[in-house]
Amino acid sequence: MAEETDKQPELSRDLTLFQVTMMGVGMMIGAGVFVATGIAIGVSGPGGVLIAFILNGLLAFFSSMTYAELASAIPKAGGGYTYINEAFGGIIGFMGGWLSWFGHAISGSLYAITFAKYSSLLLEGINFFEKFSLNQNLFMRVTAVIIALVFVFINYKGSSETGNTSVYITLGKLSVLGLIGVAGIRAAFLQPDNFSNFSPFLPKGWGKILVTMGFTYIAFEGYEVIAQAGEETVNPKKNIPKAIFYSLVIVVSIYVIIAFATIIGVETGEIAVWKWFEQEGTTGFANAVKHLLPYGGIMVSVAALLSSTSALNATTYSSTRVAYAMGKNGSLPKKISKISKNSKTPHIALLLSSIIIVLVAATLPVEDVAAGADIMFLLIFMFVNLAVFKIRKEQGNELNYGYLMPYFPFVPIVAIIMQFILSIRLFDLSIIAWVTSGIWIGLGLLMYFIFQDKDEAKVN
Amino acid sequence: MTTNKIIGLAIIIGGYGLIWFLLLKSKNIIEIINKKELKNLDEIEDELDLKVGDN
Repeated sequence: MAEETDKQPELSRDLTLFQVTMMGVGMMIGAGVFVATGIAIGVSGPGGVLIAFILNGLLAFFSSMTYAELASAIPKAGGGYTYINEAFGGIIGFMGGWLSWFGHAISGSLYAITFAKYSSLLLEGINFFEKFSLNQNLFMRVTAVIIALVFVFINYKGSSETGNTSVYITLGKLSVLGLIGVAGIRAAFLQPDNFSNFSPFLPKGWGKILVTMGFTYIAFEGYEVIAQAGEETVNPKKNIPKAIFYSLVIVVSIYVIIAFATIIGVETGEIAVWKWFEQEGTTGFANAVKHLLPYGGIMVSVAALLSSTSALNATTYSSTRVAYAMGKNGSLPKKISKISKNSKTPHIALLLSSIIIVLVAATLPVEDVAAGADIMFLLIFMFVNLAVFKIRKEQGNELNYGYLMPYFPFVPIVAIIMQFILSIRLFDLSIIAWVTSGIWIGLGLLMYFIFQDKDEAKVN
Repeated sequence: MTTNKIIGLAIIIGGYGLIWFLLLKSKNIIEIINKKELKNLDEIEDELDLKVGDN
């Protein structure tokens, strides 16, 4: 059996720094930014959204330093799960993987449905459903399943194909976002009176900034996907930490410029900007961009389609790698870590992840489950920030680091406190999300004890 | 300009500056570790003067 494992083909190591960086950017700039930016301005005001994006960026940078350190020293698939398992093992290690696997897979379902929603909106504009007497809801579900399967196939073809696909899609949406940003800066120069759009700066006070940080934090967590690629990246000790930092700085800059452009460009008449966005809700961003650019609405829809596909691509990849790592470590059956001889991808882990992605996309009310995934990611990040203490203490002089974070232990301590506060704040947004998370944790505990019993029975 | 606006702008500019500072510092650390082929915790902490107290 050991021989069989030794002879197994390995994951191919062909992802470049650029590809991995784009995978991270692709994951972070999911379609959420097109929906969340408008809502965030409505919740915390024009100043609040900029402050929330910067503080989230800073908090994410703190966590990314932990990830970069651990990923450079332990460049294995599995990301956060691998580090939690390495530090704590046992039930905490297992739960880290269990939550991470489902968190990524269900995020994938959310992106598949987001793609289907935007496709449906575009087709609705040309009366597609009336013309062909189609059920729009059914169309959305079927589209979500089809797009999920397309990216399962791309992920099966190999990590380089996954990386290349991610690069093309991400560059496409970055172009659209870049245009919006340039149009916003142009508007700032040509219409300086529009700076009055930033008044009132914080119409609902400082408290709402935490709420905005809570529901937008997920858009800053690309470092988890990049850390998954440790086994498939060229020179991972150097490239993985760099990709983690570069992708985060790119994304924070884009978010801030886009939020600035949206606020400066919008024309709301007598209504205060934050009030206008509050009334517009999820369509606020797209309608604001219409004021900035000709065909702005269609461009935003196209960018949202590209964003949801690149995020789906990245989450399909990362959920598969977590399942693969869990199989490899023995947390789940070893068979799950088998690698296809043809494509050199973990095909069984991909199959299992795709079942979760497709099932959830086809059946469940994904929004609340996705909020549950938010909570899970925050819990995982907290444990990873704890893991860095234990790993430094117990293995610090055995590991071969490619990066070591400065200002230790201040950085992980701040990250742990802030992530705890944000996860609690999510309770205000969705109680169902916390209930769902509780059910997953319970299911995970059950799985752990089943597998543990089986292992003990084997030993006996 | 209101007090909120002044504090808010300070957080935005300061926060963004801090992100860039951490990026450049981290990039520098990666380059030094890889160039000098430093490996374990003690070696890197001593070389880069990263030790805080007795950690």
